[in-house]
Amino acid sequence: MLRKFGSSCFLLAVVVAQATTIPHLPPDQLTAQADVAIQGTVLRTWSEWDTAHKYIWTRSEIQVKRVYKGVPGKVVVVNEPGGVAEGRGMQVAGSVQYTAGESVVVFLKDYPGTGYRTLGWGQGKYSIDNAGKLHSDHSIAAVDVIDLKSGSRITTPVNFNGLDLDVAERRISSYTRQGAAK
Amino acid sequence: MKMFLAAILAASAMYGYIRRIDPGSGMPIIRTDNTAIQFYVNSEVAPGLANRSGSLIISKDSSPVTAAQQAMASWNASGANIKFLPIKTTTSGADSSDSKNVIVFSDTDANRALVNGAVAVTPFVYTLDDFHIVDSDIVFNPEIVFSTSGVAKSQDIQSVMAHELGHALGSNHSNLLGATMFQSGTGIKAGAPDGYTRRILSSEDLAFANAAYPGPNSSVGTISGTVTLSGAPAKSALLTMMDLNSGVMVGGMTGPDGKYSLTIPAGSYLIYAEPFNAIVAPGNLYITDASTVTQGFLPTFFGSNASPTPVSVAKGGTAAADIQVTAGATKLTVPFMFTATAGQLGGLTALYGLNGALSLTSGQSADLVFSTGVAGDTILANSGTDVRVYGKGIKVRPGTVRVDNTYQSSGLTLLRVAVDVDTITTPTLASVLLVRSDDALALSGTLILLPAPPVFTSGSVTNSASFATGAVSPGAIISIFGTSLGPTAGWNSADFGFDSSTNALPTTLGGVKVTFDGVLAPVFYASSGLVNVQVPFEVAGKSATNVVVSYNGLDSATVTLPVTTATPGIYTYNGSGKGLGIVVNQDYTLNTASNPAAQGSVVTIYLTGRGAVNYPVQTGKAVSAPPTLDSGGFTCTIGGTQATVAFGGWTPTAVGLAQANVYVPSSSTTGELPLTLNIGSASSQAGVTLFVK
Repeated sequence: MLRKFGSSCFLLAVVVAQATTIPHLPPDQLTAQADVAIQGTVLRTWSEWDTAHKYIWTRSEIQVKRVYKGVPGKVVVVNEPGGVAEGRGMQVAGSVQYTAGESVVVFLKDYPGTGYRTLGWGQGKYSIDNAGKLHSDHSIAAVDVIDLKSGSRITTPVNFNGLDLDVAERRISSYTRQGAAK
Repeated sequence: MKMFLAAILAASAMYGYIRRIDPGSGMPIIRTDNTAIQFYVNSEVAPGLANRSGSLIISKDSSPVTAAQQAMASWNASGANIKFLPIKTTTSGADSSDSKNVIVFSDTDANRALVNGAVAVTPFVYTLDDFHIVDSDIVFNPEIVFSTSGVAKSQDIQSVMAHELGHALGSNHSNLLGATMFQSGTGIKAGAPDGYTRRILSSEDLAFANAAYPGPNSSVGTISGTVTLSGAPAKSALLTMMDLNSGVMVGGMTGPDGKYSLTIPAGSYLIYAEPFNAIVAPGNLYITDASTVTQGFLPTFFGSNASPTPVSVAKGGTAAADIQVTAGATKLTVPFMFTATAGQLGGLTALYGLNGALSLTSGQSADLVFSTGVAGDTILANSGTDVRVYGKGIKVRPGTVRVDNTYQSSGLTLLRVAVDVDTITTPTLASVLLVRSDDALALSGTLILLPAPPVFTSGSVTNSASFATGAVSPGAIISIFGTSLGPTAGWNSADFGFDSSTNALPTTLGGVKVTFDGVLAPVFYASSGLVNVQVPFEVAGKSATNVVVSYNGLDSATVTLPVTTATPGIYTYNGSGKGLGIVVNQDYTLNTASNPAAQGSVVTIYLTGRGAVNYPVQTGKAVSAPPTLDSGGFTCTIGGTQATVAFGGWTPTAVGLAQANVYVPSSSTTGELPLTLNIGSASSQAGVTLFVK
């Protein structure tokens, strides 16, 4: 990608400047790296220490309405670090929050011993508003590049933010098929 | 009841800098061990650490523990009542219930699940009755490469640590893009200035530290107010306060009632409020309830956008600044923004999205280039779009706001403006605002202004003992004099000691590193005008070496120095390179006029520049005793009389220090006598003496 535009110091510096603490996952990679991608409704959330009593986790139970990828079953539990339990609070910057009753599209990664986590922190969760549009409440730095000769985007779209649900679903399905074809 | 009232009061006017809040009570979360914070590092942390897949996690040339300690030193030097203690080693791992703060890189299922792809995380646990932090582990991602040396595609350990320690102190993420506590870093790769900028705590980070943990000399006051939109509270409105005289820039956020109260350095501030945007979103600042966020307004200054009114606050004083924000949704969106050659049009190949801070250096002139990135969108080209830059030491060049139509065929319009950065010595932040009569967009703290790169010459490199210029020799301690070499206040390696993971002196100190043909040199002392380092033994056998000094990622020009076998320089009592030498008498007392050495006794003369030897010595590490004790090729004259050298060589247990144990000739004269050491054909400096009786 860099060679496409030459190797000027200017170009390198700018790309470096966009590097992220949480690596950016554009939609195709988000879909590819997810073990499970679903649409659903958050049924309930609760916090508890894990069985090793090392961390407090907030569990969110999501009733699955549509499955885009994976075999999640009818209900999935998403685990995010932080919460309140047994007289203690725990916080981790960037933890994703779920609210009971919330309609969501989520991309999940299955970790041994922990279970599902939201992939890429806030990048893997979109809430669906009453108008059927997707919204992310996190911003993750991305390298977004546009070719000035053609005006075309060299990078894939930054995220699904603001898309209608049906448009996002078609893209997710497309990315899933591309992944399967590989 | 008292606690309940406190919680209510806190919840009505909080969220400064922005601190971590207990969501149930609205109370800020804070440490009570702030004057003696003990962190441990897991004992496996060492250069060359690999994960369970065999991939490198810590580069082999890194000093991870020293990097962590230096990040702590930055917070310790914040002026706040914060003291991180020297790091201890433990076999414990990360465990949020053991009340032990542990730094780990361990590759376990649990740690992979916890970091979930992030560079590092700091889960901290606090009590629910008084909101005190009782445990704060720092877990590094075991699937990422970290370094202190700038290995390509690595994350800088010190930058990451500085950020995570902020969380451990109770800081939230910042809304200022250039702050250490901003959510995204620029730590990947090295060499680029941005890769290290988060090592340097910004005024925003320092303001948090001094507000949360005020020190005896914290010169702070408090600015409070309410932000309203059409008479209603503007909830979770982002704030930026800028003192253009001091360069202090501080961020903040209103509470659910639109109120704010920020304790900040005394000064005179321009203040504006802005809504969340695509760079800083509510989730990044741990806001979980969308109903507590007001949108639909434009960045609005206290006073007015046309004529912002400064707000002054004195030390210990208070000031009020209510802001009525203007309703509206910006059409400017978050533009593509980058830097380009000043004063030109065209010459670009691509647009780059703005997602973090950009840096400019002292004395630099550049164009700031903006685009909405939307084909056919001409809003930036319409007349009346003004670009304002707020910061100390940077100015918009008058009359340079202009449209670049070079790329009309792509449908994209660019707006450019030329800015000039003054000569600056301290890193500062600057904000950019795009302002139209009916619209505005703020890019808060998006420019980091960096001091000039280090400057030195071959003539400003000396032997640290004799101050002789010219050639360097393997293992010698040298002094590099120059400008912008390092931090204004000097950093001393003695404050950190040997890195416990390498058993060597640190190769980065206060953001300064020095390379000889790419080999990192141990740094003894680093300041803006002077850096003392050991010449790596790896230069042995070469006729010349290329030296580069880097300060927070800004590299000096390469300076070529000749290399020779030995450069003996005797340390002197007054540190000038002349006069009484650092000589210890046979009874281990210092040789002085009132304590002369006896004729026939043995004295120990301390020097540097011994050069390569025929037994193992390693750069930056303490020297072992040589296999045989002999003159090591040294000769010596005292008062012009040849003196027998019993031992000459590197001083065991020291780094870069050498010694000669010499018999004072029985036939020598007495009094203050000239002293000369020779190693082969190389002689120590003239003008050094010792006293003989």
